[in-house]
Amino acid sequence: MKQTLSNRVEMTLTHLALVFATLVFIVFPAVYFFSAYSYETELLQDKADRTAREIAQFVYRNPEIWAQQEHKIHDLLLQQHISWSNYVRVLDHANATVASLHSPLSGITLTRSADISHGATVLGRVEIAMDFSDVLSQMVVVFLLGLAIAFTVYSVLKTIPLRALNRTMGDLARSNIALEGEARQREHLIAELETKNAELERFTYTVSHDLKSPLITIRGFVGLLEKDAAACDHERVGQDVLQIKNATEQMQQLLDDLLELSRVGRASNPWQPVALNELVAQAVTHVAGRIEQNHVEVSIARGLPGVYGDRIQLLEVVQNLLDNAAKFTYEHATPRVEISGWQQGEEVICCIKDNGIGIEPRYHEKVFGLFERLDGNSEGTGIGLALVKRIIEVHNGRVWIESDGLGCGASFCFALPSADRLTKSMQTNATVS
Amino acid sequence: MSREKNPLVRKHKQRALDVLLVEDNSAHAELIIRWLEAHEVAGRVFHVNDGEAALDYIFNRGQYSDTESFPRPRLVLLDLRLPKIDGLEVLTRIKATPEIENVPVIILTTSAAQRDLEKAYQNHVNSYLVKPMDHDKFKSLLNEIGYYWLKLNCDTRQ
Repeated sequence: MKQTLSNRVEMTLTHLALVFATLVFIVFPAVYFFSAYSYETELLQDKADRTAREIAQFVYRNPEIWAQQEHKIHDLLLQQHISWSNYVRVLDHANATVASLHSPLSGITLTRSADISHGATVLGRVEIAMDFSDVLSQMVVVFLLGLAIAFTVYSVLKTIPLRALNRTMGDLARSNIALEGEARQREHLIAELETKNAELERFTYTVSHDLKSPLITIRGFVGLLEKDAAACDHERVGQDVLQIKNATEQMQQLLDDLLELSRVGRASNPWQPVALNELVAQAVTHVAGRIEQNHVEVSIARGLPGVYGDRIQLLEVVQNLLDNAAKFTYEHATPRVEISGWQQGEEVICCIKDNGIGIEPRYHEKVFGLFERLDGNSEGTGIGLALVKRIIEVHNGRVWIESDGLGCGASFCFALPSADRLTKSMQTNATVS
Repeated sequence: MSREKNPLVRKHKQRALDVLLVEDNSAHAELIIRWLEAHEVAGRVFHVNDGEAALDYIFNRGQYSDTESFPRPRLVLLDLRLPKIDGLEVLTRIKATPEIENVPVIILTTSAAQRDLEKAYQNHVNSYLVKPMDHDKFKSLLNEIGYYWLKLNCDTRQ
């Protein structure tokens, strides 16, 4: 759009400049030529007329013999102060030359004549000629000058407005780019807000559902308790009370989990470079109970890369994933968990791989949901992976599962921006500011 | 497999309706089973924990392939939020299958969300109970369902 407008303006300007240049190129020499021509001819005619009048007076005094008095006429011509470059001839009525002044001219000449009259009779005429090639050679100079002026006019007309236009267009383009950038940023922000909003809606739904759940149990069993107590069924009363107690404990656990999840976004600890090796080693000691209980063999790859973030939260991520892996390997004869990590582009990827029960691909997203449990009988509220996802997202990373399905084991992987890149970008920011 | 050994069967009453209860919360399941026990309409109660198991049961797949031990239910009590496959999906599949589309489905849920209600009714749910459920309302619902089977479907199981 911008390019075509600029091209169109350039085209118009070129046409305009060409028209002006052509006008200058033609009109300037033409005007010069015609003015030079008329001036010279007028001058010549004037001289011819004057000379003819002088000779006419002489003829008047010697009407019969004027044509024989060549030297007198020659003197007369000399008295006329005629320029040496002009050739003057005096002719009688039979067109025979009576007298002449200066040498005859060759090439392009301009000639004017005037009659010598005695009363009504024409006795002869005066011819005066000039060399016109001088004027013509001047014309060449004028022509070249015209060309130069035309060219100057052409280039000035063409380039100056175009340059100004281009400058304006450049400004426009720059502000356009800035606007586009802003619009993109705004769209991105809107999309982000929409995602957050949907997430929040899901969160509220889940929370209200899951917090209500123990209340329903309590209410229901209180109703049954009344009946069982009235019927003096002591065994059932005991069962009812146990259900109610369990429900209150579950409620407590859910509230604790929610509180923990809400802490993640508020990032209470300062971010720092974190060595994954140390983090994994620490997580292994924290989960040692589960690892020993299920006889899980844990292997950690050497030289894991470094990441950057909240050390305590990242420890929680590794610990949760490790605990999860150790928990779901119970069915295997030789439970094994492998932890590996590597740098890939500007990311650090860490995978915790187990040979446990595995997860079908269609549940790979779902397991990260809040209070989501695939195995209804397994312990825990289903907060662990939701917490992992939240922490990784707060660290601008992503988390995913690689598993072919049931019985195939699973890899829980997360990617975080590498520590190098983050420190580099922070340095750049520091120098900029 | 004898009925007594079937872990899903909680109670057996003669000439009563077989009920499939799909509920992941064990305490809620216990509560509903206790209510069902107290009602004459409900017969055997088959309890499954998630949506996938519910569909397997209904379509007699996998471990539920024996139609003798796992008869077609005549009432489905369905929780909406379930592990693996959610309740709405289970409902849609039931109502899209001609042989079982007339089996009454009661949705049991903590969610009173408009969105869920609309979807459930679009899928011809027979009733919708928002937890915390009222024992009396539950009883009258069961009465209605017993009446429905008696009046509209005189096919008593042999």
